[in-house]
Amino acid sequence: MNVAIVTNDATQVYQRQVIAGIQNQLQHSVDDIAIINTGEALAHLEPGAFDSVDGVLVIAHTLADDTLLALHTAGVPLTLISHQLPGTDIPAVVPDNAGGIAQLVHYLVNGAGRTRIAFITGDHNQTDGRERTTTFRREIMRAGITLDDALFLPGDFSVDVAVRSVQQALANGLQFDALAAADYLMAQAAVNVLREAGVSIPEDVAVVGIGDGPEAADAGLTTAGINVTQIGIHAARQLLAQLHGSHIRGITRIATSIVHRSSTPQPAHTTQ
Amino acid sequence: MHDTRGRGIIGEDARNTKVARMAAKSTRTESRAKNRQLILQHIHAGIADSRAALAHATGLTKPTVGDIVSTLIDEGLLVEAGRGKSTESGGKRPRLLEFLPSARQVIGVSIQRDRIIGALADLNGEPLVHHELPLRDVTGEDPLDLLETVINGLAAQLTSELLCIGISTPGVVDTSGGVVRVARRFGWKELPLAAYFARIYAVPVYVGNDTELATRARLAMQAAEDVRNIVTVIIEDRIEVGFAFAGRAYHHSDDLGKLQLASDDSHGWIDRLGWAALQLQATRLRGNYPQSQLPADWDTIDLLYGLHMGDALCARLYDDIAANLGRVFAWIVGLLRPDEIVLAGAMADLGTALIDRVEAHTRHLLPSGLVDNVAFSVETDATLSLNGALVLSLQNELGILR
Repeated sequence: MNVAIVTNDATQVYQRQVIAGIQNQLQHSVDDIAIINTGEALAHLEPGAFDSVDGVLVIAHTLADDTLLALHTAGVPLTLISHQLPGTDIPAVVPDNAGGIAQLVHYLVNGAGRTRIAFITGDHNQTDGRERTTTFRREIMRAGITLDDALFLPGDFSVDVAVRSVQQALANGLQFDALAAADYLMAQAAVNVLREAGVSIPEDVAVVGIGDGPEAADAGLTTAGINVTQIGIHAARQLLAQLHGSHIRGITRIATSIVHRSSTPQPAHTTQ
Repeated sequence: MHDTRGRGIIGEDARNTKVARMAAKSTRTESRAKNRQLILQHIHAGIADSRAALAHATGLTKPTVGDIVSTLIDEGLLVEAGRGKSTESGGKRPRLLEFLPSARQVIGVSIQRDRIIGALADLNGEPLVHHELPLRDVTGEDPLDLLETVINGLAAQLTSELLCIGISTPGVVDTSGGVVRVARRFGWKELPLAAYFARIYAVPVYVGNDTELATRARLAMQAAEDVRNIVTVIIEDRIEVGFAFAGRAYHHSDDLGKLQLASDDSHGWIDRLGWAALQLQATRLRGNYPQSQLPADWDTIDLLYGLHMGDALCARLYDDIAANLGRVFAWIVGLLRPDEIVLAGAMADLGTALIDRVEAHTRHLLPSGLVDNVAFSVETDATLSLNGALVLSLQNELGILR
């Protein structure tokens, strides 16, 4: 059996870890694992590009919807990773975004007593990005904290965009006592911007992000950690079951857990 | 004439003897299964950790304990983990026994209002991974097929042998037979759900009503030891009540959503308890609160947020639903005197702000002595019934988590 992994950039931290998990899980179960680098998001590929493979794993929003639909309709075993195609039941493996964001908001509000929490959003073209923003908004409402649209800063899962947004927020005099980001790399970038501006972390602003990696540890960033390699392993298992004839629909969710570091004060109370 | 009398009598005797032998064998098998569960239960709960301690705590003979423990070790459910302290009389140090939660895995699935959720868990009932199928895109499809695809999604993640499956469903369920007596939502009637999936996956399957299972989970996993009688009230697009008595007997209602609480609405009360009635009340009252920021297409979080922000319409809706719930809770508390009464389902998202008001209304309606020892709580965990399915299957299969 031959399997293809489709990604827009296999050199990125997230993609590298996912691929490692997939390879680890599949190395003794399939004959060949091909990595297809599209070099761009939302790539249009003809289904014929996958003629030589028996199953496909797609990382994030790499393939255009019509390409995914064509593969699905053709009956090619398919697993999406950190992405879902709305209106379809293509199986997927995704981080528990809602759970992770809820953990972070609970941590900041109940553990650190913060009430003006800025949020650096992800890419709203991606399921992960949309879910994380929606959940953050609902958790702020649930906590009884005033919603302020000015506290939503564009990030697009891009460090450069996040840096510009935080710089702009500081220049505008936006008041906030905590900052959460839709991924840990944007949160890490925000830590640098805040420190350069003389903001004391965590005394003035507590900073958190979703996802975790060595960069987060180096930056002392508190995160709702996701074991990204495990996402790859679970995705590989899901695809393997399909290759053996199992009919799977729906989403496998991978739980997050709080990793406390110095970017937040020691929590007084975090029971969630 | 063909005389069959003598042969018949002999045949009957033989049959009776065979039946008696089978019954004795069946009793022995059942007895061994019960003893096995008793031993697992004692080790899992930390009551006993050696063969001698098990014999002492369970009242079983040492050979019986030794025999069953050996089997459990062979099956990988127990491991020997070093030696304990010798007795005061200087006896041999006992071999300590440990339960191995990773030895097998269990699957639980729960049919909810808008999705089917499932979990793959270890033998402590700790979820290792979740899988879900939103139901918005699959209307008109056979719910059995949908359940199967979710179970498949979890089975794909197995890293040890599957022990059993637990299923939580709305409707009236015969838990002991694994039969759904009636589930109007799916048109199920006398459906042998457990047998259906047991045939597919070749493992034991257990089925329970979701509200009853939520109560079971609450009791098994979360409640304090002195809490033995729990009532769970689930309110969303249906209303159901689940009961746990003395930590042993469980029961559930059918959907009570159509029950009328008031004969007229001349006082502006909503006349039913559920979600639809609350939405109707919001529409009816909106004109009285022109300053309200509650959006037209609101949900529980909007209502909760509005209350936090001092929105008068939201406060009024909280008072109305609390008054109605207070009446229902007063009857439940008055009749059953539970240790804890739990509000769950979508309505629980209205939070402690609602349950505090409900408690106040209930106290107002009942003599204080009846309410003083009752804990009022909300349970926002949407996976409570799912956890109950895991608990049900582990209780039945291994005798643990009781």
